[in-house]
Amino acid sequence: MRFSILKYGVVFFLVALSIAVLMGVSQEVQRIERDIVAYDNAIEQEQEKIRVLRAEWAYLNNPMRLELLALDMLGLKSPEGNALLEQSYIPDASEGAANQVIPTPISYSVDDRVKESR
Amino acid sequence: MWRHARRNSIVIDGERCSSASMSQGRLRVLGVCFAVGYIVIALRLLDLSIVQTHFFGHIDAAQEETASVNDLAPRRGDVYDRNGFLVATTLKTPSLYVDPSMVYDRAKLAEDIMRVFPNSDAAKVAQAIGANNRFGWLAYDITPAQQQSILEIGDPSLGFKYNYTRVYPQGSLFSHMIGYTNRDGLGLSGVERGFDDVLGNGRDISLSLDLRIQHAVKREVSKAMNDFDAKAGVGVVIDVKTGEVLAGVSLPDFDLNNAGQAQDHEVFNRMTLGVYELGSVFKIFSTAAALELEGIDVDHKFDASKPLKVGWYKIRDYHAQKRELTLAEVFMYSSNIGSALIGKMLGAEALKGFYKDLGLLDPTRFEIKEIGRPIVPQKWREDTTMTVSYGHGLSTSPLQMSAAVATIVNGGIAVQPTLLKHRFEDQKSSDVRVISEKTSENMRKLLRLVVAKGTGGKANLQGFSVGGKTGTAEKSIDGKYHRDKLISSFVAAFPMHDPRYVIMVMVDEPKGNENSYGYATAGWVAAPAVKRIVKSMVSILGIPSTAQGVDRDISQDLLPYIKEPSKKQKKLASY
Repeated sequence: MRFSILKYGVVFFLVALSIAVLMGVSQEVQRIERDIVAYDNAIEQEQEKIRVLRAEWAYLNNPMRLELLALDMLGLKSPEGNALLEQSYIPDASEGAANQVIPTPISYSVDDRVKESR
Repeated sequence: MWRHARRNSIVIDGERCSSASMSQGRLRVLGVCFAVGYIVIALRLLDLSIVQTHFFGHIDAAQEETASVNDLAPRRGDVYDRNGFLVATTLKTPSLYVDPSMVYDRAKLAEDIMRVFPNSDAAKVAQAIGANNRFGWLAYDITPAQQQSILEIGDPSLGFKYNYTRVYPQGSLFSHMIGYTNRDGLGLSGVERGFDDVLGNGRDISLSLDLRIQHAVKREVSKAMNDFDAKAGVGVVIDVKTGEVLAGVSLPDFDLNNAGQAQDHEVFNRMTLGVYELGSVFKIFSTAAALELEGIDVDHKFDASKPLKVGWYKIRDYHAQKRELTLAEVFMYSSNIGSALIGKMLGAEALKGFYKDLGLLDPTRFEIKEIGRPIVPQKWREDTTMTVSYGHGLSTSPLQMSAAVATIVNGGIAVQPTLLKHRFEDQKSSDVRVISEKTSENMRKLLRLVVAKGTGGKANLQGFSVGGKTGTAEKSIDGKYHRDKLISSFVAAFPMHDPRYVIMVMVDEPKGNENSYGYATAGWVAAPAVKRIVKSMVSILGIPSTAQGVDRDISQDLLPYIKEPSKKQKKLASY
């Protein structure tokens, strides 16, 4: 009799344990699945935000806008063509070339057309 | 006996006992099973009623929303310029709908909706809310702030459906090149239409266009149009070796984000779909044909002393020299008489064949589908050949013209214009040779001569060896040419000792102004615009000045064949 109680007790315990473990595993799987969905959603939302930010960045970098801002805020204007030279054209000071005339950037008068276009 | 009986009774007792205990055991097992069953059910109930709804409810809602977005068709691919700058993208936007059967107070809801969308049509909103159905759109593609305001109304009859919206961050900068889609994401024009299958499958595209150069070209063409009160304008920049189109502008244009509001004259793509009689720029091709096919040299002489009578009309020179001209002078002074004589020398078949090789008689193969078919004379009589050699009687698109000029100056290899960025730098456009290296070199000298000493002087930018050809044509309307309606164009290349870019500016119906002494010809209108574009390009692309790099101007080779013009003629040359 004692043996039976013990036996059934053990069986009951094992079954209960199995159920508990199974329930736990089941809950864990469901939790992980939901986590995955939540992460996927979060990733998707972040990606969407990034897309919006990229579009906004492209919008804010519109060349016409930048040109006007550069002129208004910084006084920057397009350089003249002769502002760029190949390195080889720059005279070597050691050869006594200090007196050579080399093209230098010319200060660019305010570009009226940029103002007109506003 | 007792023992036996006892043994029997024990046996009997034992059997009874065994049966009873077996029954008890079975009952216990059943009991345990039921208990386990009830426990399982109780736990599951606990799970469903508390755990699932309480802890994970919000995730289900999020999952539902995501699913409604993921059910959409694949997101349309993005479009980038050659430097990876975003020019077209697709964003997820909510649209607001109403289920009229669930509306409690229609008047109040309509009032709330109008408060969030003050620009909406009140009658339409009221109609959607009061309809006898289960669904009605209230607003498309609403902003996050508007969505928040709607959520704050908290009306259960309102809902959102998510969809993808095409967004063009550069607005009108690439109107005709990028094009637009309809609400269903179907490409209707430009790249959106030409690459609809690629973009529709979610693949991105990198174009050959350069945002910065596009802006510079648009700015300068726009300025030329404003300065000369013109009706329309076109600007093209092509890489002469790869055929990549770096900029393509057609003005007036429209905001791609509001393409539905655009007028027909804004939507019309003048760069690829419009075909125009471009006038004297065609002398580039007739002159190249003479050098290539007739084997003549730049010192070959043509009699331009008096107007040339052809049939019932006379061919005259705008910058008449009234003397015999060398081929170099014919080109430099843009002599119609000289060019007509070149056409006569070549003959119809040769000139036609040469134009065909340059792709001037067939629609251009290009990635976008708005391509104009050139208007070609049906019969090439002698007088047709003569007029076509200086650009009258044959209409082409500005893109076609630019590609043909690129073929002439790049050493003679046919250029196939493209809007796609090449994977490798200096990747050749094709291997088809149209003219020899020698002819190409002579043409480069002639083009440089036009800018150094001829009609294109206002395109001269010191240090960058710009060469080009002016073209001023009267517009033909209903078969009649109008002196006051001009198409002024200038097609140029630089640097002329080794050209890299062809630039074309065309201005439609410019009107002369005080600064141009009333002139609206190409030398006054289009050439300065090209100069300004070159000036911008060299600083954008970091092209160093060639002033010290090239020992001398290549057009100097032609000076022995040029008779120095008088002071009066010099002044006129720039007109």
